[in-house]
Amino acid sequence: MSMSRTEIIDKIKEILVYADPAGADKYVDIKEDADLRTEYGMTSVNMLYIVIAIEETFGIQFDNIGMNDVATLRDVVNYIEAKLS
Amino acid sequence: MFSIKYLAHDIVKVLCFLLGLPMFLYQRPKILFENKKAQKHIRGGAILIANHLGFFDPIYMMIAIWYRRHHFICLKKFFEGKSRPFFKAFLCLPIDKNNVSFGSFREIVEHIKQGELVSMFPEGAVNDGSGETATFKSGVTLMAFQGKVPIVPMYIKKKEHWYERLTMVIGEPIDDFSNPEAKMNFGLIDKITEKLQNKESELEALVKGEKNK
Repeated sequence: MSMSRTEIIDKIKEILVYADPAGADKYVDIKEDADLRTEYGMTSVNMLYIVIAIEETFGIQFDNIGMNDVATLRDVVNYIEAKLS
Repeated sequence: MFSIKYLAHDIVKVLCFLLGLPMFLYQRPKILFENKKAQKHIRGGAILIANHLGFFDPIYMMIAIWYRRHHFICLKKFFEGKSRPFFKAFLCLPIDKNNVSFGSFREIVEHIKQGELVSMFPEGAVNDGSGETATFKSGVTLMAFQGKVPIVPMYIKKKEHWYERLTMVIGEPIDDFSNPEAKMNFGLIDKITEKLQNKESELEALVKGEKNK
């Protein structure tokens, strides 16, 4: 599956809005370099949820990496791009 | 074989046994059940949760649910160094609290999907000594959703005196996770985690009420 970076970000935004409908507004202009935990208040469980949703959406599987390795949206997108390529 | 050299040691050993056995029988844990549903044996994949008062809690959980093998979730630091074989023998599953890895989460979910019992302490750490149950972490709810298994709550009552019997109460399993239509999101995960916390308080009240009877 080949996807542009913008398409990947849009899909992630959809996942975030589905996961957190109450805070949907804050994900509209989400910055790539923003730390998802410190700036968007995500807990480690929220991050696990997002990873599960990403795995299902993109048909990929995350390796045994730690949460600190994908702290920002940019890290997540880079990781997905590398997996899809 | 009798030896004068070890006489003192052997006497102490016999005395310990003679005094210890009745004490052990007297002090055997008391297990209560919330209702008839809680009395049923846990079959298949499930997550057993309890409040965390001390190092011996896993043993108490193993006594309460004696008929199942428990996979305990424990801190990764216990898996490093000399204690590793001990924790491995106890089927512990390591997790790094400061940098949770997706692999370790997946491994836990695989165990429950395979029909095994995973036991854990949702407080995430040993109680601070106040006896008050700390706020539950929501990881347990996400695991149950992923494994589509029930959560069995249990409350361990802190002993107030050394001569008291340890009392534990097992609650009715909470099964909000096997419905494929359930729309899982952050809000629902938090809501169910809160429900688990409330259930723990109910079990605490139940065991305290029992004591006052």
